[in-house]
Amino acid sequence: MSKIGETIAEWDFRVEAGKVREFARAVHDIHADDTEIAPPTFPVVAAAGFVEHLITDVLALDRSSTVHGEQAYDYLEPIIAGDLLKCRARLTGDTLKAGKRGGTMRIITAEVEYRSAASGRIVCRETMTTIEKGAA
Amino acid sequence: MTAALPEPVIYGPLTRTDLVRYAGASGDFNPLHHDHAFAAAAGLPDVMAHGMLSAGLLASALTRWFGPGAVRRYAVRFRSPVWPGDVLTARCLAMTPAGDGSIADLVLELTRADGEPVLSATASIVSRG
Repeated sequence: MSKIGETIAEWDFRVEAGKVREFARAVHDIHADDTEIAPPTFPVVAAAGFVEHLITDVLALDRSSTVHGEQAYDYLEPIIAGDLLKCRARLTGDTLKAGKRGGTMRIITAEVEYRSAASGRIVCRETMTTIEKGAA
Repeated sequence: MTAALPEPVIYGPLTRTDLVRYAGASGDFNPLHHDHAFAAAAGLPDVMAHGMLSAGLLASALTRWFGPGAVRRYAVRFRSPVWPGDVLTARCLAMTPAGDGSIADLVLELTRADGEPVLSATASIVSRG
């Protein structure tokens, strides 16, 4: 249960126009072909490698007993094709809780902050909650 | 001041191709979402849709209703798994104009055809124009 609050990954992510369009089509966005503004959940693309690293390396969770509980985005500005994002991820919580149907649940929360390399401003904060069922 | 709620948006029936397209677009290649044998070994009846695909579909309803770039906050809670063949309906259950009227707070839900909610969500929207 160390590492809480610590930065566990930092990386750069280029918001490519083709990737924005591909993602928008995959979520059946009717504006996929007429805007360069990324859909609200697009940051999952930037965070995919981090989430994989968090689950398999940092936390060593068993995928078959892990569920995604919650996800939230706070936008200060839209993310737009062409943006270069400076991304920083922190583990914000790792606690055990009694499950409703017995057993113990491990509740893990992480936050990713996306900052525009051009303006230096934070454009989006993403928070995610993962639940490991049957945790010891 | 009350505003009419936007019309529901219907997605599906979801196909395995929808799941694979989302895996490629998002970079989430957890085999539970595309490998039937892996899903069966984990005790699942079929490959399971990514929770974030459902969250993305509900967010696309926001984009349809309010236009690109209107979302200030979007928070979802995953309530039930989604499977190939499911037909999902995105609904806005409540809309409250907030502050000076430039922002509305929404309560949202994504439900299966049998009415079971798969996703609960809230959002804050910036009015455009």
